[in-house]
Amino acid sequence: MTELLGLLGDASLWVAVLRIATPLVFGTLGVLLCERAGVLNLGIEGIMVAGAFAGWLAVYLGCGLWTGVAVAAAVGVALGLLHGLLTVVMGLSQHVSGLGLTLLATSLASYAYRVSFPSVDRPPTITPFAPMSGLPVPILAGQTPLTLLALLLVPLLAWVLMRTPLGLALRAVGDNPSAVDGQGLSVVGLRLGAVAAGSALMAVGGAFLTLSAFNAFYFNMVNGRGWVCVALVVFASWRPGKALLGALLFAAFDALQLRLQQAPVAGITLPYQLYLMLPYLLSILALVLMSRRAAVPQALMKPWRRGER
Amino acid sequence: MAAGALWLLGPALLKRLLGVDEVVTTLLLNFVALLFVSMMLDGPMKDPLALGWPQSVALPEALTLSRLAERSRVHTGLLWALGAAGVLALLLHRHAWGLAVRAVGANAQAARFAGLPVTATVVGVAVVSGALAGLAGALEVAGRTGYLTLDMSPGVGYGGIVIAMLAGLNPLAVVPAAVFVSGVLVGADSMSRAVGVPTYIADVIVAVALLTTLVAGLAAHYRLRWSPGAAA
Repeated sequence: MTELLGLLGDASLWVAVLRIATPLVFGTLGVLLCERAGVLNLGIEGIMVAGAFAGWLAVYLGCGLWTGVAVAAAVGVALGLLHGLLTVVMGLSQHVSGLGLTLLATSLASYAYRVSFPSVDRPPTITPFAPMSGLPVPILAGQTPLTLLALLLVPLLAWVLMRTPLGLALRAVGDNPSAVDGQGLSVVGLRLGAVAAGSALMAVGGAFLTLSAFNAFYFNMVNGRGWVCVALVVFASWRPGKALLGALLFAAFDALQLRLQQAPVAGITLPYQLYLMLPYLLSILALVLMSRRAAVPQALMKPWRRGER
Repeated sequence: MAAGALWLLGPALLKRLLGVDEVVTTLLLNFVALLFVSMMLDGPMKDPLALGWPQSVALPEALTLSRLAERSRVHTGLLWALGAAGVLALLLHRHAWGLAVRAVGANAQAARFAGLPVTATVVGVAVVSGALAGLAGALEVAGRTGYLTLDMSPGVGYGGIVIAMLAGLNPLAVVPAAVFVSGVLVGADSMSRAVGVPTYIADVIVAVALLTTLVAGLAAHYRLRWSPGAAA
């Protein structure tokens, strides 16, 4: 037990927690925004891959790091609009469209990578974001500006959703689109905007992996983070603040299991795969525990057509 | 098969009893299943002769499937697959259970009102579908490789989703749809060898096929009229 407490007191653990949490925060906020507007976006896994690749490629070709982030966000917007076209404008199955988008974006990224780099022994690298060592806050100083951006986005999104007319319209469009239509607002426009913006956040979350956490693009680097984000949104009951909490909790667990793998507590060595399973099982557990009292947006996954009940 | 059936029992029960989205839980469970196989391959099932590769002990000769033709790798698993499509088609369209399944799928509330056991049907379907997916994996081991590795299924599972949509959720149409998708995959392999196009192009084509089928499904509800120059 003392070993475990020693691990928890270690500052490097918490630096790792924030680093692991960053892509999850971006992704979770993105999913949250889409779902608050009534659109499930299972394209997240693919959008994160595409964002990771596009952002990295832009920087590799000589753009600045922030340009890379912008490119990733633009790719996210494009993919989000495709999902929006299929699910919002055409009213098709959000599950199938999302999975199709994930397949499409993932394979396009892999394809583009292989076309750009037909035969490389090791992945080409870039110089990623540097930690903000000038900051006086101890754990934040070990992070890159993208992490700071993620942390600042949480109150910003919460404020927009809960305190502005735009946020009210967005939440209403996820709960009762016909009422929004009755107010003379465009349901399709609001939902498209939410999916596009949410997808941009997901893509930036992916870009964090290539531009900050690592310095190269690998296949499978997103590795289910997108699905974890979808689970975290349920865990967070569709609230940005709780989403941050959930992402941090999840990341803390992930960082802890990495360390437990290296230094087994109380002399028990388990197969490393058991530790790697834990985050996924934890996500499912969170889904089960929270789903009973979750305030699901009432029109989630329901396409809206004027005049239909 | 039994493993696949048991695997899907969890998400199906969660879905019906707690309303947890089954797509998300199964996507997350994918990783757990892969890691579990990886653990077994590192531990109790590891082949001591495999020079450290995570690969299982080979199946005994009696359990492997025979080849259908000389000098080809087509094995009797193909007959199993065709049989499964036939049996499923009969079950779904010529049997009371199939009627219940389709009723629950079309409108769960109406089905409940008609006195159908909705939860039992959904769980039953999930168990059968898990069993079929498990059978697919087992046939690959028994017919193709003879031993188990971690990269047995390069996207075959997701391919299954695409094929089901392409086939319009009709078991018999699954056969040509599967042939189409595997044609794309094999063709991409040849293209890659012949002119160096990355094989990922196949996944791109399959994904585009899925999305366009989705759109085509919508377009089929409308009557399309060609009217040159005129306003719609």
